[in-house]
Amino acid sequence: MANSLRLYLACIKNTLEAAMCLQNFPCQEVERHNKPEVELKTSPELLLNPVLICRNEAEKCLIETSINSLRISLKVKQADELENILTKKFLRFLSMRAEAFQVLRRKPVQGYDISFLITNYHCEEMQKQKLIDFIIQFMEARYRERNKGLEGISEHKRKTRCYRVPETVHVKQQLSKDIAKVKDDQEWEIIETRKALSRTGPVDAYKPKNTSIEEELKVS
Amino acid sequence: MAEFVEADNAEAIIARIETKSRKIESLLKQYKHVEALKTALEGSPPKTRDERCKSANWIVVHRALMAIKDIDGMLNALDAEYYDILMKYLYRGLSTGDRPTCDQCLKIHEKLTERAGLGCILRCLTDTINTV
Repeated sequence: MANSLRLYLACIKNTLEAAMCLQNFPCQEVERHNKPEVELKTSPELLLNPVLICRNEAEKCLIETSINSLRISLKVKQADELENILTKKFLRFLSMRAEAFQVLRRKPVQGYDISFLITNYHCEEMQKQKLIDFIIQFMEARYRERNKGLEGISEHKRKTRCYRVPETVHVKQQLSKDIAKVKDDQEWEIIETRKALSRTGPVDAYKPKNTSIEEELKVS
Repeated sequence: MAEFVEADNAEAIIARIETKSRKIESLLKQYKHVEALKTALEGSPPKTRDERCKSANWIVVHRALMAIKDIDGMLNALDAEYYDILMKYLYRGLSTGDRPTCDQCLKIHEKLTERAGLGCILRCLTDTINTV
């Protein structure tokens, strides 16, 4: 099992090293615009073949490259419902703070759990090798944490000899996570509304009264 | 022009692939795994956009790939001109998601990258005309 993980990560690393050849390329269609071509996919000559690397039925990694950007989408295996929920919460937590990560994409690509978007600007500011190492270490850390978490749960199962108990043990953690989530959601909403306000201004600030001329004349 | 050629040749290519698969079966029975793989990779239909030819050829190559146990020996015996085509088929195998195929493809991918380098991978990514 460990060997197949090592091979999977080695394959992804080699593919990323080959695929991360990015250069600045201003948009061809619109003047003075510079867009990541892999997201828009407007011109086929700027895109390379997308590569899908599967480790098994549940885990895969999609690497799409273009001339100035590279998108990596990962799908991790989730063994049961509990893991599904935990993974979703964790990855959502990360995605909301995508600005701090710089290379993380706010929404994962359809069908995947998490996506990275690396542009030529990232390659200019940061070292290419370190970017690749970051992504590989991210995946390794995920697997290690998952295995540790599973070990903890199965350890507990053995001690109490009851399958239901892990659920109750996790309810408290779940509750505190829910509270944190609600707080995060509210924070996020506040930030987004503030941003929206700065773009458009308060929406119902100006409400002109729809009165016709006759009414005005009647009043006077 | 290219479409004309394909419509006529599609049947011919599929017939060729079938004869090839019979030859490969016989080679595999004689435990000549490297020969089988070479034969499978040789007749890769270039510039056909017909999905059936590509799938038919992929099935043949897949058969030959799964039968290989000694990867280092196989790569030693394979000529350098086949590395690119083999890499393309490896990526196709990795995209299937079938566990034994993926295991085998990942093993071969690592060894092949050591030999052929990153250029081989890059040629697979950039070649949009001769896709597998």
